[in-house]
Order: sequence, then C-alpha cells, then structure tokens
Amino acid sequence: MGLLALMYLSALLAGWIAPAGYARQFRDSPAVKPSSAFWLGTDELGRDSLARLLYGSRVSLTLAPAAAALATAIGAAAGITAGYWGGWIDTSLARVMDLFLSVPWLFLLLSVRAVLPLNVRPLESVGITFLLLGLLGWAGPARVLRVAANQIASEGFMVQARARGCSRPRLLTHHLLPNLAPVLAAQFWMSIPIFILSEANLGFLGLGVAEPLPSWGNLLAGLQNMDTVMSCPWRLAPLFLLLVVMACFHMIVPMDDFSK
Amino acid sequence: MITRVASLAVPLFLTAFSPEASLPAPARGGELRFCLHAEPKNFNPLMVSEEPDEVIQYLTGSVLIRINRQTQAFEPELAESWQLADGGRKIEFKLRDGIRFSDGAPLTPADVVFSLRSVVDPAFHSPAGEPFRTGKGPILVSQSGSHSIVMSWPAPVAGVERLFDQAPITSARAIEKSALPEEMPVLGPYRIAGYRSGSAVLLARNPFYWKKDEKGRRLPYIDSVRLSIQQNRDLELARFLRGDIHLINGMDAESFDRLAEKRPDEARDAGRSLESEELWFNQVARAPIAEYRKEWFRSRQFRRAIAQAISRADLARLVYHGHAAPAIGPVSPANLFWFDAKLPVPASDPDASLASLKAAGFSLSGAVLHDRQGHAVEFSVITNSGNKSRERLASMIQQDLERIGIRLNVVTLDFGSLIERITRTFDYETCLLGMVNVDLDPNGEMNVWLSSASSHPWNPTQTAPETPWEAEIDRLMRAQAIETAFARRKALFDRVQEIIVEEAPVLVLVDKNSLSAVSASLGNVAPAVLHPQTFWNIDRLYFRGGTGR
Amino acid sequence: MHSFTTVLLTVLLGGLIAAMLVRRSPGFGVDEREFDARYSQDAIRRIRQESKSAQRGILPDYIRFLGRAVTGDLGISASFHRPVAALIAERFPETLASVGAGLGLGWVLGMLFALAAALSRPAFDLCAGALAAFLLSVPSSVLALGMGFGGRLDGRKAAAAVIALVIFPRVFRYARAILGRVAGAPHVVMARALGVRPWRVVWAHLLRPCAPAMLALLGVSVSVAFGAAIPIEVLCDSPGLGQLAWQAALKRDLPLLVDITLLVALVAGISGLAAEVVQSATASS
Repeated sequence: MGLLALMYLSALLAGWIAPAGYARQFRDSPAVKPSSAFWLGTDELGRDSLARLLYGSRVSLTLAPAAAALATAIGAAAGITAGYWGGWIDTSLARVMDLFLSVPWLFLLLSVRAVLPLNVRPLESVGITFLLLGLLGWAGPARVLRVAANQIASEGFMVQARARGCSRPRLLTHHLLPNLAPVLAAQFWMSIPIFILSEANLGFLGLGVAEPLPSWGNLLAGLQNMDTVMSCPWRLAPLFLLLVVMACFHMIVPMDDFSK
Repeated sequence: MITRVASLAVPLFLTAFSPEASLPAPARGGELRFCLHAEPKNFNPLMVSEEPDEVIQYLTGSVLIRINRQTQAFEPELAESWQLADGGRKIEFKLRDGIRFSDGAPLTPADVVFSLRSVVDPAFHSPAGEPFRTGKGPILVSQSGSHSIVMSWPAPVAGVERLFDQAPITSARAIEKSALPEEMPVLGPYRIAGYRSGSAVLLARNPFYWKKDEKGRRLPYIDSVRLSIQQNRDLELARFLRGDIHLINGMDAESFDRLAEKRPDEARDAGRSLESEELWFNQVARAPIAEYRKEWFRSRQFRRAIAQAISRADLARLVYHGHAAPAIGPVSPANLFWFDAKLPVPASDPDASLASLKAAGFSLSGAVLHDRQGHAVEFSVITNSGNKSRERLASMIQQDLERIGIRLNVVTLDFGSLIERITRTFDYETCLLGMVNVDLDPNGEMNVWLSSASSHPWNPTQTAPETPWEAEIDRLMRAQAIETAFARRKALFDRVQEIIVEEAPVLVLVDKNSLSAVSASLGNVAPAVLHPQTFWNIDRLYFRGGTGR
Repeated sequence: MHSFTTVLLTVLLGGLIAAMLVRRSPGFGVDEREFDARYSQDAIRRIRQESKSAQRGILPDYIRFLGRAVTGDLGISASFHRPVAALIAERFPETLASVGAGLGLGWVLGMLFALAAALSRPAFDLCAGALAAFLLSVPSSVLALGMGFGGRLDGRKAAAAVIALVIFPRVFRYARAILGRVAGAPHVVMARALGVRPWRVVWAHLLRPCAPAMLALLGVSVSVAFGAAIPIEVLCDSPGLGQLAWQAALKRDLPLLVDITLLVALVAGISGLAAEVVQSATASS
C-alpha cells in the first residue's frame, strides 16, 4: 500500500521531482545514459526519461484503472445477472458477450477519432479513448464472472439460504457478491495492464496518447527494439514500474478466486 | 529527326564504384534472400502500383529502355535501338532478335504492341501510361516492320525515353488467359516459382533470359531469389544479422546505426536520396477549418516565418542521426541534373521568424502568439501513425514553434484516414508526410506542381490558379514539358523551385539518405539512390563462394 | 438445437455490425493511389468511381454476401485482390497451429503447476503463484516482443509460446484454486493418509471432480487465445489470421473483415456452447 501511495505521490509531484518537464528537449544530450543531470538518461530527442516516466504514470495510473473499473463493473453486472438468473437471461447475455468479443470495435474507435476536433487536448483525447475501451471491454470479465456466479449459485450454502426463504436481493448482496469479490478483484487488476498496453497498440492507429504527452503505453512501445533495450537497460524502467504496480495491486486485492 | 539520346550520365559520386572488373568470373549458384515489406497484391505487371509488386515486376520483367540506376543513363534493353521523330511525338523501336519468354516462346512485336496499348489503356490504371496522355488525340501503337514498333502520342513529351523504363513488356497470350503467377511467362532474369500468402515469393532463374556476361555465360549468376514477406523492420534486421537474409533496402537511421556498430562493412550509406519529409499548409478554400486559420496559411509571411522557426539541422541530426541533410528546396541535390544549386540554404532563426510575424500583425502576449483578431496561434499537424521518425519530427517541430509562441497539436492518424482528409474532405490544417521523387525528370512531377492536379498538396484540383504565383508555376511547368533544349528546360524548372522556396506553400524539411544493408557474401552490389537501390543489377549479383550461405 | 440457433444468429448479427462499423469508419473506400503523384486527375476520378460503384446499401450487400457464402463464395478481398476463402484457407492453419500449440502448452503447464502446487510444499505454491502473477502483469504484447526479438524463434513458434504464456497463468490460478479446495477435502486427505497411490488420488479424487469447472474455463480460454492471437501474430510476424485481420483493418477491407468476424464469432460461440454442453453433461452424470 505504501509503495503504491509512493508511486501515486511521485506522479502527482512530477513537476517538483523532474522540473524540466516531459516535453523539453535537451537537444545537445540525446539518448544519454543516466547521470546526475538526468537520473534515467534521456530519450532520442533529449527529453528527460524520468520526467516522462513520472508524467506518464499520471496518465496510466489514473486512466487505465478507471477504464478497468468501468469494464469490470459493467462486466460484473452482465455476468452476475446471467450466471445467477440462468435460463433465457443467461443464454441471451452469453450471446451478447460473444458478440462483443468478436466484433471489431476498433472501427468505432477510429470513427470517434474522426469526429473529435483536430485541436483537442491530448489528455482529453486519451481520456475519451480510455472511456471507450472501458465501455467496450466488459465482455471478457463478464464471461468469467458469469461462470463464477453460476457455480456459486449452485453451492450448498446458497441452496440452503434459498430454502430458508432468503430473498433474492439479500442472496445477492450477502452471499453471492462477497464470494465473488476475489474474482471481481482479479478481473479488475488483470485488466489494468491490458488497458495500459491497449493504449499503446492503438497508437499505431492514431488513437493513443498524442505527442508530447507520455504514457506507460507509448514508453513500453519503445521496447520494440531489443538491441537498444539490451544496450540501455534503464529503458526497462516503465516495464519494471508496471510490474511493481501490479504486484502492489496484487498485495492489496489478492487475486484468489471464489473457491475459498 | 531526333536520334537516340546518348548517356545523360552524370556519375553519382555517392554510389559505389564496383572494383569487380578485374576479378575472376563470378561463381554461379545460391539463393538470394531479402524481404518484401507488405503482401504483394498484383502479379499482373500491367496493373502494378505498389512497392512489393514493383519489386517482383523489376525482378521478373523487362522493358524496352532501362535507366541505369547508377549512371542514370538510358540503356537499350529489349529494344536494340530507338529513334525519336515528329518533334518528340513519335518513337520507333527496333527489337532485339532471338529474345524468348521463360516458357521458350519468342518475344514478338505483337507482344510489345499489346503491352504498350495496355499500359496506356485507362482501364488498367497503369501509372506508366499516364504521362503519355499529353493532350486530346489518340495514342497509337503499331507494328511497323518484322522487328519494329512505332508509338505516337498527341503532344511532345520531353525526356520521353525515361517513361519506357516503367512500361512492362509482357506476353499477350498469358494476360489474355489470366495465367497464375507461376504460369506467367516473363522476360526478366527470374520467373515466379511459388507464392505463399503471408510467407514468401519464390523466384527461380529464367532459363531463357537473353543477357550474357562478358564471357558469354547466361545471366543471372544467382540461381534463385526468396522474397520473405516481413513487415516488421526490426525483425528484418535481426534476420540480416543472423544471416537469414542478404539485403535490406531503405533502412531507417536507428537500424542502420545498430548495424554499423556491429558490421560496419555491411552498412551502406549511399548519400542523399530523392526522399524528403515535407510539411504543407492547407490552402483549400472550402476546407472545413476556421477562417482565421485559413488566413494564416494563405499569408506568405506566416508560412516563411514558420519555415524560419524550424531547425532543419536538428531534425536531421536527432531524428535521422545525421543520415539526412537539411533540405534546400523541393528537389533533392541527389538529382544532380535538375537541382537548382542557386537556391539559398535555409537557416533557422527563431528571432527573425518572430520579427516577421510581428511585422505581419501578430503579437506575443506572454508566451503565446496572437493574430490581429486576438486568436491564439494554435493549429494542428496530421501525420501517419506508426512511423516513429515522423512522430519525432512532429514533436521537434512542436518544440521549435513553441519558442515563438505557437502551439502545435500533433495528430497521428492511420494512413487511410489521413489520405481521406488530404484528398477528399480537406479536414486538416497542416500535414507532415514523406515524398519520394521516383522520376528524376520534372515531367514526372506535373501532378504535384500543376494547380489543377490532384496531388498538388496544399490546394489540389483548382479550376483556375487561385494565386498569381501558382499561375506562374503552371505556365513554367507546361513550358518545360514541351521544351526540347535542356538548358532552357533547366532554367524554367529552376524558376519553379525558386517560387516554391519564396512562397513556401510546402516546407521541405530534410532529404534523407539512402541507407541499406548488404551482406559481405554478395559481390557486385553497388547501392544506388534510385529504386531498387541494392539490387538494381540483380542479374550481375553473385555470391562469393557460390552458395550464399 | 435451440442453443446452436442462437449462436448462429449471434454470429450473423456480429457480421452485420462489423460491416456497418467498417463502412462508416473514416478512410473506407479511399484508395492510396489517390495521393500517388504518378496518377492524373482523370485516373484518380476513375479509381474513385470504381470504388463508389462497388458500394451499395449495407444490409442488401450483407444479405447478398450471405447468399453467396452459403455456396462457399466468401467474396474477393479488396486489398489482396484474391478470394477470401483462399486467403483464410492459407492463413487459418497457421493460426490454428499456433493457437492450438499455445493452448495445449498453456493448459499442460497450468495443470501440472496447479497439481504440484496443490499437493506439494507451500514454497513451491508461492513461487508458482508469483510466476503466474508476473505473467498476468506483463502484457502479451511485451511477451511477444521478447519472444520475437530474441530472434531465436520463428513467427509461428514465437506466437505459440506467447499464447502459452498468456493462457498458463489463467489456467494455473483457476485450477490451483479448485484443486486446492478439493485436495483439502476430508476424503482426499484420508486417501493420502491411507497410502492410496498418488496417481489414483490425482485422477479419481482431484481431476475428475474438477472436470466440469475446468471445461468451462476451456471454452473461455479458446476465446482468449484467439483474441490474443491478433496482436501477437502482428508482433511476431506470424502469417496467420490475426496478421490478416490487422492488415485488413488498416486497409478497410470489408469482405475480409466481415468474414474474419464471422469466423471468430463462430469459434467463440461454438467453444462456449461446447463447454456448456460438456459441463452440464458431466455435472448431471
């Protein structure tokens, strides 16, 4: 928890920790190694890598979890409804989930980019992208939660509770949801890195974060060049940070499933 | 009567001089391997328009006249000789004797007539046919003797021989029967032996290829060519370093430097190429952008101030690691014949740029530039996504303009969306794209410089020139197109270049170098700046040791 | 039968939605030759005319397409200029091979690790859990870059390896949880204490009771694997359906995209349906 708080605080205080800013180009110092002037070196355009990492954390640590939360929430609503109620509701929702997983929503994202004004701020543009990713990314979690809800619903304690006359809402809130909490948490934190990198992949279509705003996604995309990574291992910093953050999320919301 | 033009050649100092002449006869054998960067779409040589298809066409096809990529001279190929007549409206070819297709069938004048008629047929959309449509009137092709063909067109075309370098000669029978690629009889050094979608195109030696070396041995030396379909350029380099492939054309600067570090002898920088990066301002009257922005873009002072604020030297140094040079004008100095050496070298001077803007009525308030109406000077630049170099260019230009109080918003779009905006909807403000002059001759750029043309970047398809300087460019381009005296043509085209630099509707930022990778096992490779840089003399390439391992 | 019908309807609806999205997306119908300076204005006008005449109403076009698809004619790819059926026939085995190998390897590793973790010391359980957590945290694209650019593996093997690494932690976590619960059941503890052979304990008391739940996961993992294949094939340059779909998306190749959507939807629907059928059959037996 402390580590995570430190990361968020660092991102918030990026302006103090790295006063040069993420966009300023020190053109006499392109691609330099870490030094006292540049703690994580600079990129090809002479921009402070530490500053870009910290500012990039702001984008990725806020927007990706927000998109993941949105996708998980919608997925939970659909999956739990399907798994708990069963019957034609389950069948219909299962088919809707299949539909969502197979349709190329990429083109909707392209259409949204086309509609956005050209001079929209980079943060607004990426915010809209993450919002759409969250709205469209619910089907995967929904499928898992549907199965989980279905299994819990047929557990002995649930049958007993129903036999004792427990109302549906109470069954949901007091028995089903608490037992689904670990699965929900697992889906949430598994989605975060997916959304972080989705933003980078969408950059290939012009839907990611616009220059000069950094994000972990576009910093990770710079790892495409293995040779450069091997000769400049400090460029693995975004990946390292991602793993640390994921580990922290895992500690806080253990990814254990509903079987306990 | 105008006889065949002798070599126009001005040797390019930047291309390698082959030291092979005094060595023993090259060994035969081996399989040459390199990559196509996209899936081939069309194996019909008459309908080729994209790069992978052009590579295959170059390796398997043949033409009447070939431009030597190293010397830029015209060389007879399938045509033994030719004569221009009728003030540049007619050409008569005498075909070589004894040339056969890869299936053993002889090349006949009927094949050549069919091919040339197809090239100029609008239904095929062949880019090679476009320059012949110089005016109203038919384009006629007919057989004039047992081994000769005559072709005529409505109006004179200066430098017409170069057009035949792109006009493929193919088998009339095969095209009419819609033969599969492997069944298509060809005239080039190789024929298509196999094709697996997403994987590779295999080419095998053409057993009836007509060229022989000085010792009378039939060319090519190398037995076969494998063209792997590899879109990822980093993977391509990894394969080259492993020895999986022998050539890489058109490398980016970063990959080139990585290769040069490990294998300096195999990294070849042929110097300035004909490729440049350009930024232009949208001047289309009906563009759906704010009127005040259109006013800025129409202002010559504004455009020149932007040009002055951008540091081209930094762009070349940082984005291309020194493997590029600040551009001087719309024509690269690599085009030794047509480049206007009198043009001044542009210098970056943010202070002078700001002074020009102030003189034009702009004012700096804090760190933000405003126009006369008080609008903050802010506009966007669109470019294609997935191109790291271009995104970095945009980022650097963004910083340069910030110094003079201008906010530039970088918008990356996928290529289809970008083309739609710059050719149909005109919903953009400025655009940053690369340009390649595939044709050295100014006539090859008519569709760029004429105001009525559809590839006129900043304001295409004008019904009448909207500015006096564009009207002047139109006049100059049309005049040089029919002028046969070279000195006069040069003077006319020099003036076009000067107007472009003076008016700055398009800012040519950098001229990129031609970078390639060539395996040490290959002999006779002499990278040129013209496409296809490393294998333009494919029939003369050989493996030292004979096998290519 | 009813379930199969709903799956089919879903697939057809998916195809229609894909067609609508592609048609309405920016850049659809735009030919790159329109910005090629070698073409005159007349030539470009003709190119645009040809592109326009090929487009009619979305729904009538889709119905016509379905009519032809029933006879095996899946249309002609707008970007590759070849029959879509031939393209899919060439690329599908590549994807099937890498997805199949990846799924197989991922499941085998996942189950083995889960079994070992459920039955062995806590230290192994912790390490295996940490490995799974690490792999879940690293996005598949980064794994793909590592596999592909290590340069040791070719496209198909790299794609299969990455898919295995994507599937393994999901299977491991799920199986570990279920097996762990079952392994702690009194009758299993008793069986082990009484010296029943380990393989019999594993087969009769662990794997068989967990089969319905694992089969449910199988359906999901097939969809996950096919979904992951697209970016993985692009990054590893493996010439499968995923790479084809990506190229089709960049070129707005409507016939190819609709066909691939139908195929993916069919695979997802049938795998889910099959898992449900097997699960309900084993649960009732």
